[in-house]
Amino acid sequence: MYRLVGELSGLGLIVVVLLLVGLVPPDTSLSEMHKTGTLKVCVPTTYPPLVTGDPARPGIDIEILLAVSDYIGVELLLNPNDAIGRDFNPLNWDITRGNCQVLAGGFVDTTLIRSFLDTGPPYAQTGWAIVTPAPLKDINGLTIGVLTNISGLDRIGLSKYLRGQDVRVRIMSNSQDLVAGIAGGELDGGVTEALLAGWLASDNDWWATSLPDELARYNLVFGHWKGDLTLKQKMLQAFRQLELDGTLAAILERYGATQILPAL
Amino acid sequence: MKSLETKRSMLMIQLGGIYGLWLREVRRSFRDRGQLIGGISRPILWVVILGIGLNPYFRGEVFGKVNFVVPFTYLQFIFPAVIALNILFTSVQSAVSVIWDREFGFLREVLVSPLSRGTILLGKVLGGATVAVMHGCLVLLLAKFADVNLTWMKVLEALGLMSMLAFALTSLGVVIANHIRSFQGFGIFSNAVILPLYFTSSSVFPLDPALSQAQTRVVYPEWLVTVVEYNPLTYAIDALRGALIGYNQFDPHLGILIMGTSGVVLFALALFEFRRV
Repeated sequence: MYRLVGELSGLGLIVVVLLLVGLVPPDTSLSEMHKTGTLKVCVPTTYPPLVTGDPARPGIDIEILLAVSDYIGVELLLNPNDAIGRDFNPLNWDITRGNCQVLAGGFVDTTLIRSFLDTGPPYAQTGWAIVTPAPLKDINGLTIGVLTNISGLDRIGLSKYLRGQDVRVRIMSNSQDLVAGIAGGELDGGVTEALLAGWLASDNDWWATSLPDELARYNLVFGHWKGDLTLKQKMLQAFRQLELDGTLAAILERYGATQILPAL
Repeated sequence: MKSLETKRSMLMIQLGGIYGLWLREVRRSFRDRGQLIGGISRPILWVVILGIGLNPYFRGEVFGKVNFVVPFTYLQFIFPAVIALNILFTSVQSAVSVIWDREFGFLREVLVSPLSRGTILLGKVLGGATVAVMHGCLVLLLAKFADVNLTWMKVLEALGLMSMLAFALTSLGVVIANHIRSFQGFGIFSNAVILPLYFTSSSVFPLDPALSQAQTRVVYPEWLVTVVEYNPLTYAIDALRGALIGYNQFDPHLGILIMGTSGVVLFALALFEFRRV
């Protein structure tokens, strides 16, 4: 017995050493943030309900990030970028490591996004939805405004679906134009990301309906720079705490993000 | 009736022999400090030092610009390959015990026992494979460091794949050991097999699955792509990546098929040569 314990001691020592080595910080992202005392986040200027631009109700992402930065003990520094979502090519948004440590305001966890960024824990789900002035059974023959600001949702899948539905499509560049089009009667409805659709519907007393399941649903996440593991792990820790103390659920509830939209 | 009992008793002897030889290999590995140091130094060098060292070259700098085509970090990408590396070294080096046993007469004693050659070889290979899987598991201890999220299902799947790989590679080690007469010769020969196998298995650089065959051959020289595609270890590492980080460059079933076939063929070859000892 003693002999076996002696034989296993070498292996035990190795396990302990490896576990200790695993505690070494793999990068400097967290320590750099602590040095500056700020968490720099790139967000679109407005993307309700994630980023609203209203200081009284700043949006889901801003409120979560405020709680996260509070947990970490740093100040949240927002870097609004009006190019986010406006251009299909994210290179034109000019978001670099120097501008921000975290990207927020409509990033979803897809393979495409993960090719560019590392992603944090999911906090809500989204997909494509349609907002209309009245309840809707099908969208055949309608004139639809399409707003695809959010990065990472399957635009090709949406385009295939809409082509198959015999609808007339108008591409919109912002939510104000979409709302004006629907309110003015030029558009029968507007297809956009589900949380935004819910927000527009609630603001204008309209109806929001999820597009069918054939169009996938995605997890909303924050984007981290690949390789910033220590910062990502710290934010994950903060997220767990926000989930445990109910802060996260309360924020989502406040913005109606927990509502499940009826499906078309 | 008696014949049935005799057969049963013979089976028990063979099973007992497999267990005895397996246990001997496993316990010897615990005493082999050199092998244990190798088991710890490889994960530290490859995951911790190389991972941290190369991190700035593979991290994101501009959103929308891809330097590294895989939807994972470099640490996550190489993590399953380091498990395979630890298994590769340990499996092939476990087979050095064949030379050891031959040199010190243990093999002669075992060969005159009622155990068949197949039983002896199976006991040794299973022992070597078990040690190799344990060394693979040492790398798993660094999963959190590499940001690889492990679940029980992932670990079980990985253990199955690691066992298949370890069995095939230990059989390969025995095939090599059967041809080598000295420890020094085995060391040189095994390194000549291990390192080229590892480096040409898409372990440290990805073959982007989004690219066509023609495009891949523009990114990398044609000879390198061909070598990677013909290397069986490529598919074993790919299967491990599929299990641990959910990323495959090839059909995930290919890895299981190739590891299973290699295990059977290499064991049969090792047995053929072991019968001539």
